[in-house]
Amino acid sequence: MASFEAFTCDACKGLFARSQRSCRRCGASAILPVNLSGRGLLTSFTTIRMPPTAFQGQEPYDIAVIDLEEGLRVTARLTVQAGRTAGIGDPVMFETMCPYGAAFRLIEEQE
Amino acid sequence: MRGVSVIGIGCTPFGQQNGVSITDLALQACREALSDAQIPTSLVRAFYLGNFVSEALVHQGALAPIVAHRLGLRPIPCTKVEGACASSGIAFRHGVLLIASGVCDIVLVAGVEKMTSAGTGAVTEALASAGDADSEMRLGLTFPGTFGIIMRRHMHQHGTTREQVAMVSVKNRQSGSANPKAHFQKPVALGEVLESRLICDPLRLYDCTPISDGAAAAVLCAADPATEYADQPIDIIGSGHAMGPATLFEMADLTTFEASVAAAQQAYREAGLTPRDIDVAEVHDCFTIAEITAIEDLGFVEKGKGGPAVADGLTALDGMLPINPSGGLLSKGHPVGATGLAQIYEIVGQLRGEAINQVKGAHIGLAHNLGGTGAVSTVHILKRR
Repeated sequence: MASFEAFTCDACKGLFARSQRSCRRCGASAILPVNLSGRGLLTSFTTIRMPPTAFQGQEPYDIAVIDLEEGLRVTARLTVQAGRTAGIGDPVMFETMCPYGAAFRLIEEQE
Repeated sequence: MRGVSVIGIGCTPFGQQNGVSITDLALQACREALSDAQIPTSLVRAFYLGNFVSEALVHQGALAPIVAHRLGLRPIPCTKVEGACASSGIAFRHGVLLIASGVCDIVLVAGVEKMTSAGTGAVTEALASAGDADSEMRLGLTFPGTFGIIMRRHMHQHGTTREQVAMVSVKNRQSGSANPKAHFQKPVALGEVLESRLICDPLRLYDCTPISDGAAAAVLCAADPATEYADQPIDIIGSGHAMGPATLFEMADLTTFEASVAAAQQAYREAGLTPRDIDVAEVHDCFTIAEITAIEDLGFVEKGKGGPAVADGLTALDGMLPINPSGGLLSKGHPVGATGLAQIYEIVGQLRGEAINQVKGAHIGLAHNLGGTGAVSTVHILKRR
């Protein structure tokens, strides 16, 4: 399973999806990369059927808001395997970094 | 701070306006507002113009001075204001502040957008620029997608039903059917909304505002001398303007826009009022679910009770609190930069007692404008003297 790279504040241990010069919570400047499990739950999602020009041809594609088990919330692409239907609360895992951002997929029942 | 009043309003029809340039649209609304106020252009001391995507869609920048010059305004400060779909709510707010602080007595504010001459893909892309380009919009998220995610979450978290959300469209399209300036003047049935084409699940076509052209304007004046110009000045008694996170992943609750809550609290505090004192409101219904989150964020109903409020008729034209009697963005159309001032246009009409769908005895009205993924919001409270 691929780990998900995020960033943490060495002072207050706040977690962030993006790199930054100083902590948005406490203002400290030691921001370190951290590997998260990549496991989380679907908070909500949608299927884009009318994309902007730059994404035309990829539709339909899914985008989700995911709450990772370490407490970080991220917005990412979501892959749903054929025959599956996603639902809020479903477990997901980080799959890969695409040119346009993180992609997660629904966890299969046997995983 | 001095009191500020609205002494003139103007609004073009919203919809597809072929052969009319963005400048012409703005001029039309401004001239109507100046004529309504019955003041010469020489009395206007500053001009704020709300606009979001004129560079991207019609390749026109420097809009404020271009419009001002063609109006015959000489030589006054002219400023374009950009805050995504809240652009002209912010333009209005700046006009209010300029007069309240005593810098000048009369200010013209306007909002304009020309969208239908560009293709749907280009419009979707231009509108998506109001989102966070570094993260969510890079993924291919759009605004219908953003509100699709919010809608699914609202239904899950608060038990809001698909039918309750669709009823917003039915209600607003019904109101808009009487509005000659509305883009859509035909009611829709609940079944039509529920069976319309999926855009961003669970959001369907009739949950969305159309792509429109249009402009709206208002003449603002210091409250004391306002009666020298207008028989019935409408006083601005509360003005709020706040920002919030511009991404879904930074929202603590996917069903609440912090910017709307903060702007509303500021406006209520300034007016010395509570949500219960509002007689009529125009709220930012860019999508059906947005009206439900708005009436909750503005404190008209408890968080999560927006769906039942629509279904029970609380927000209907003859309800306890009529919401979007103009038809809202869903019916009127959403020429993004013009929307905030078109809401003011409706509220002023309601408080003057001359609106198309007149709310009986409307004394205090509220206008709520939202931009981006909840990045910015303005709330204004207006009162009949």
